[in-house]
Amino acid sequence: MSSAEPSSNISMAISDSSTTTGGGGPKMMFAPFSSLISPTFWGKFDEVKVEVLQLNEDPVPICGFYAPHDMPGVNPIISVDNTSFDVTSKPHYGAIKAPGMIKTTISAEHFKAIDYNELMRNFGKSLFGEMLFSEEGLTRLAQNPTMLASFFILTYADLKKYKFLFWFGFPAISLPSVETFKVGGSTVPASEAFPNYEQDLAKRLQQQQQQESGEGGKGFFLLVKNSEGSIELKSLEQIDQIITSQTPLSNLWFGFLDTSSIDDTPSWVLRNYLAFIKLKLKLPAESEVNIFSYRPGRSATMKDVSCSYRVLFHGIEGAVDSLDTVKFVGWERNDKGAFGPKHVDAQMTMDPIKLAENSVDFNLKLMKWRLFPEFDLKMMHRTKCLIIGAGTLGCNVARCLMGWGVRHIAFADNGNVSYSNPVRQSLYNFDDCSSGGKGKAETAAASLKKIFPGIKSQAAKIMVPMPGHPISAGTVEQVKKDYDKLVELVQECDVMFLLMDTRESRWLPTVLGAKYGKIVINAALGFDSYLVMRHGMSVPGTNKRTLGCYYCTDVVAPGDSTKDRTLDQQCTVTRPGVSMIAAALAVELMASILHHPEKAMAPGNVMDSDSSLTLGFVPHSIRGFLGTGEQISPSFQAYDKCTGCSEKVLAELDQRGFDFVTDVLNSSSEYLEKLTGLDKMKEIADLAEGIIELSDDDDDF
Amino acid sequence: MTMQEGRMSYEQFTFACANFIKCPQAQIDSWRLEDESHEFGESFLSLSTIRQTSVPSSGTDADVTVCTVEESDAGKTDNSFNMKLLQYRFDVLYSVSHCVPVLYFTISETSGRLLSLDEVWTLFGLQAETDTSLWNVVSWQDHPVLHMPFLCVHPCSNWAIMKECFQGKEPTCEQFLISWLSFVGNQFGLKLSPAYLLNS
Repeated sequence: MSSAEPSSNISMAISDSSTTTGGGGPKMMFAPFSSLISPTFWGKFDEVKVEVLQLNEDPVPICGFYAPHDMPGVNPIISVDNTSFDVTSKPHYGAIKAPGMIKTTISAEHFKAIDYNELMRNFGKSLFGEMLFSEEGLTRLAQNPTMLASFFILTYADLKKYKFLFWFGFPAISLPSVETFKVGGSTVPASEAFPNYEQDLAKRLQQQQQQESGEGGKGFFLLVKNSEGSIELKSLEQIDQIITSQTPLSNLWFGFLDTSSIDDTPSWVLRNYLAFIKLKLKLPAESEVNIFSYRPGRSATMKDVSCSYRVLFHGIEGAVDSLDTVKFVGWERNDKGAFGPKHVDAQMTMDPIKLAENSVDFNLKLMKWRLFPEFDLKMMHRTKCLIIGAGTLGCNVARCLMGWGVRHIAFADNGNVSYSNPVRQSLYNFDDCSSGGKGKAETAAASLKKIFPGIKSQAAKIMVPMPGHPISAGTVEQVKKDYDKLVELVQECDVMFLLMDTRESRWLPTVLGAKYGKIVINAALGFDSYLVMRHGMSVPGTNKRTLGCYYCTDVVAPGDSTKDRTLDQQCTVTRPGVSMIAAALAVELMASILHHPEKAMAPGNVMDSDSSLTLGFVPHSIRGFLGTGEQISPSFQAYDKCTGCSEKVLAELDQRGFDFVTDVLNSSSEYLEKLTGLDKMKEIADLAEGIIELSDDDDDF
Repeated sequence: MTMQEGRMSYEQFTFACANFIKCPQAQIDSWRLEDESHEFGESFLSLSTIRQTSVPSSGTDADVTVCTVEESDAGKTDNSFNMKLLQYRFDVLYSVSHCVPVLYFTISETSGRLLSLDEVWTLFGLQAETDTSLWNVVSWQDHPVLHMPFLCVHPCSNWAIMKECFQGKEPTCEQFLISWLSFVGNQFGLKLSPAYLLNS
């Protein structure tokens, strides 16, 4: 026994007497109930707490179930599930319904401040104790003997965290006047106690159980040996008749369904049953009664191991039974074997966010099982994506990324949601536009969380510094701040999506992407055409890159492209579907890169690619033209005079940082052309004809 | 659609369930037929069992104060707190889209805490990601009727298994259900007694 247990005088007296007296044999031992909670119980409890109990701490009735189990040496078990809150619910086949109460405290402090002994006593009295001390109560118990198997739960629910504190009590009465002993020491198997047990009585008991099943068996019954020597099966209600018929106690067995599977140790319910027998029959001290412990086999491999006990009620001098002197015990021990509450984290069962995460992953796993065995969901979960530009492309890219199981998405955008946006930009709605419009980046990030709370989205309201958009004295501080934030975002991410609306705004992210070795995916739209591409990566340990970036095919450095444009050129002038197509291609391109054995170093043309890859080859660029229904995937080399990714530019950024950027912003395009040597190239090129011109007009995305 | 091709209709499924539950062994094992819903596809068989396990307790009570209660009582055995029990629940539903029975199950502690998929893998002694059995198509799903999370054995490969099983012979509805359940259930700790097939 645990040292945590104090001992009262009364119980000490009981313990002492067990070793010294006893007319028959050893003291009767009982196997206490263990609780078993179905996961469905907590889900239902949550509902009841919120809708019915609220802040009420008064106990409410519930029901539990006990049935024989097939594990040897295990205590009897009382289980509760989602049906427990409906006291009219019917038990499963072969199970007995036990009445119970649940008391819910409104705080953990209230739970801890409770006088547990007092609570046990109060529940013991109200559940069945009071009934044992009145004639009318004893009659009611004979009619509804399952009240002798009553239980209660003390609980506290932390519904925000889906955590529950709970403690089961199975009140058993201790009569101060008596102790019970097994006469003769051992038990008699049913087959010896009753003639022809297996062919006759066992069958009748089983039938009885089947008849009662559905209605809820009572679990208590009487066996009476009549004058012919055969055994009659009677309900406990008939006890009064039997008392008046002067049937000798030796011909009477008090039967009960014994769900303990511990040898020689009957279930806890027998304690209260014995008290009932003692008080109902008004037995004098030193009386003996027969108890029939019914333990039917549950499966073919399990035999009926019912047995008969002869029990002696040994009187204790001077002690009197009254409701005031009886004691109740029966707190359940926790997993550590100590008396104290248990707690459970039911987040798995109840948290809808957890459920959504599981379901989203499941859908993706289906793809892995069926078609795409090399799919790496964990990698998708880990990949951090930075979306620069939260317009039509940005919104659609983010949605598609979530479809692939991406959990980390950051938006960078300087704009606010305007009334023209929601119809094309799929993360915004009408309400986001009022009073000047909410910030796009934060609205998009919040919108992702609404769609899928498992997402870790963040937002940065920054203006990307752009070549040809000079810094004034008044803005220099803000530009520096935006620059620093952009550098931080780029460093934190794994994949950058450049989805802005001008050519020049892509310049700084391109340079930063190259500097920090990030995967950069770029999408740009024309009226009915699109370009989706990945930027070439440098061979590890070198500055050499094979595939080009967005600027590698350019012969002019980026400058202010908006100043000479007409209004229609500055606004959304693309066919609406173009952005959806390009956004989808951009995300699929990322998925292909991440699943390629060489990642971003994957060759950019079909000829050099491994044809066995499930996602196919990883194009360097994809250009599509809606007007002709064509799509091509050209690949081009990095250019050593590129204004975006060439060594000269990167070296300059390394050395001069923000000062270099300031120079680029404040100068005309000639500054970058001079730096990279593009100006000399242009002079030569003017002499030669035939540079293919591919249009990637940038519009508002 | 025939059962020898590995699929069954919902009517065949409910018919098989109704017969299954009448089998004396099903009563002994405490199978239940949940057919109170009259919605198409919502009848299902359910079995709850308790088992002992050697897996040590998760020890969730570490931080709980021990309470002082008068439980000194010589008449009580206290052998059970060091034995860990797990509850298993198996539900057999019908997949309308795949036209096959589907197995849903949960394993939980006595406190009602569900074991995570990783814990279930450990319980069955499996190596995650390397195993190629049906365990690879197990994942959390919303139980279609109870709307609570259950581990679901995805039915995508069911019909192929069942087609193999009957090799062109047309089984009865019950034989189909029992054969499927004994094959699939067996991998997830649901052992069906041979008594079922003898009775069918």
